Amino acid sequence: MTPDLIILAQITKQYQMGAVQIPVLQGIDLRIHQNDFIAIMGPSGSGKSTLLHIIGCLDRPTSGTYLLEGKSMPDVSDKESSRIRATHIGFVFQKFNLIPTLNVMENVELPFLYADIDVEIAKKQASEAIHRVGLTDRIYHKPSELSGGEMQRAAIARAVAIRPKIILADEPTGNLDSKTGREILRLFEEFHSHGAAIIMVTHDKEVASFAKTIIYLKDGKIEDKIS
Amino acid sequence: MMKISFRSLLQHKLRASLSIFGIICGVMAFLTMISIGEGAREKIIHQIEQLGIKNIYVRAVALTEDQKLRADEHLSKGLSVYDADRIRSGCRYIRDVGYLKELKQSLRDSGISPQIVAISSNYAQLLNISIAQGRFIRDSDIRYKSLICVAGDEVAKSLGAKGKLGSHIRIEDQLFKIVGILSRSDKEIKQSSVMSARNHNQMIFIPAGTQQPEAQTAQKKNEAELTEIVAQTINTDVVVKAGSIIARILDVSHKNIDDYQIVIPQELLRQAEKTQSTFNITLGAIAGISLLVGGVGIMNIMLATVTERTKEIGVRRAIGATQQDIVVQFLTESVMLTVIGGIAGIGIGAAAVRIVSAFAGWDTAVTLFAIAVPLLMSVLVGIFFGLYPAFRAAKMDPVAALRHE
Repeated sequence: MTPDLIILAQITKQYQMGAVQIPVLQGIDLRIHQNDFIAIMGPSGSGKSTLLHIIGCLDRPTSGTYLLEGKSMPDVSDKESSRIRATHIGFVFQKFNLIPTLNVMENVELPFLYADIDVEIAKKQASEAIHRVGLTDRIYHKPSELSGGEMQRAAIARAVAIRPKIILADEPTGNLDSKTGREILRLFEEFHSHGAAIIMVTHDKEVASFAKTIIYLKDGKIEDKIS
Repeated sequence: MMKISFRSLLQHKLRASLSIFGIICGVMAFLTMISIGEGAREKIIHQIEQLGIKNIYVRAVALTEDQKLRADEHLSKGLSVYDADRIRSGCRYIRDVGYLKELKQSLRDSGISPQIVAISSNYAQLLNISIAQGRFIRDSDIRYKSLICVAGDEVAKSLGAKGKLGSHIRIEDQLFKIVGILSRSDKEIKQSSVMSARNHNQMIFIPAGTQQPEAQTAQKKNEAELTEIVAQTINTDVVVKAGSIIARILDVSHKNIDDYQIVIPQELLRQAEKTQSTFNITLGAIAGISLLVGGVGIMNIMLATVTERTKEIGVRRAIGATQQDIVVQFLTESVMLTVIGGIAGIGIGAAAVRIVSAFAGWDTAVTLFAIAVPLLMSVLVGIFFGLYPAFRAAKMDPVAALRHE
């Protein structure tokens, strides 16, 4: 048994809507290992994205324990959690979220800028990642000049270029046709086989079938876990 | 980082150029103000230096008919050599006294009409007039009423062959031998205000007392013997004190008739500096207000940019940007905007200064100071008005920012 990469214990999250407290997560217990490929499923409003954001250190839980490599994440400073996002975590979004003013190369280099990594290394790893997602011939194109599938490939290159331990994907195929979607998922499989833990939010059963573990979330609780 | 900021500014060229308009105006106003002010100051200082900072001038003032009657009653004969002597002997702060009389006589057979003045022998030395060829008027010239003259640079040139040393010129009915030619004084001076110096280039100097008596018409009866007395003090500290002593001496001899005016260059300098600083404060305030308005424009545009790019901010935070990174990014953008505005303002301002000096004939000086100050101001405006939008961007909740459409 490999050591736990992430430990979540009794994680809750509430949002304040005016005077009303809206509970989103109500006690999540989850252990994630380095070799996991997890799909999180559930109806909308079940807290899938919120859970993903908490794992990605983008959001902080209202209560509970979150350890990443043994370190309690809710306690670290903005600077430190940003640094962890830059170096340990790669985000992939449904709407790709590339910076429209930057070309593919610059988009992929961005995490290195924030991680303060030497420009030479950044350039090398970025072009390597772009090559692996098959976008070498689009390297100096702006996002607006790319197709949806290509944009998502660029986004994946940005997420994996720095070789993070965890890749978090929020409906990564949601805006793509099923064929392109499958190609993207194959890329995830490939990066998983190279050792990255992948956590993917989806409501598509076919997409979820690429994962090794499927977690069903309902009303902020883990309802079922299938391996 | 700079490149990235610049690129996002290019996204909205029109918006960016409109938003820096205020900064351009402010910087332009600043530059123009400093340049014109500096030019005016240099000119004043130059004029006053020509008058001599240690000198006190007593100038004859034309009287009105009414005043003339009173002057007659009181037997005040206007400014005279006697006054000059009294100033010399009555005030211990005075080192030397010279005088000058503007003559209404003209140069015959020449076609030009230079100002002819009769002067005391020390006049050149008191005013630091330097001679190019020959010599200046000496004591002996005055004592023996020598019929000699010293010509200004322009006069000598216009006279051509007749304007050489040793040749004679005819003033009214007398011939004067040219014994000296002045070196050209460097700056053209418009003779208008009380503090302007004379333009020696266009003058002919003859020894006092050699001029032919002017026709004693009724009108000229009251004309003063001298046009100007120059008193040089022993040092610059006593100028004001000496001025008041001279005023008292003349009060007595002129029996309170104001047929003269005392001009003290040092005081003029002080006044000019005072006027200058008022001018500077006024224009500075105008420039400051335009920069302020320009800054508010920048803040407005930056707030719009931040709102518009909420999603981008969320993405950047998700891939590892700290709050500080976001602040730096947006500050870079706002400072870049204001600096571009500043540079444009300096360019336009420098052109405006040229145009002003060409058309209005004002002296201007675009100094390093006049460029550095507004440029620095534009950087500061960029930082100051960019801070709030930048912090607003940094303080956004990354999750909410990512969800923003």
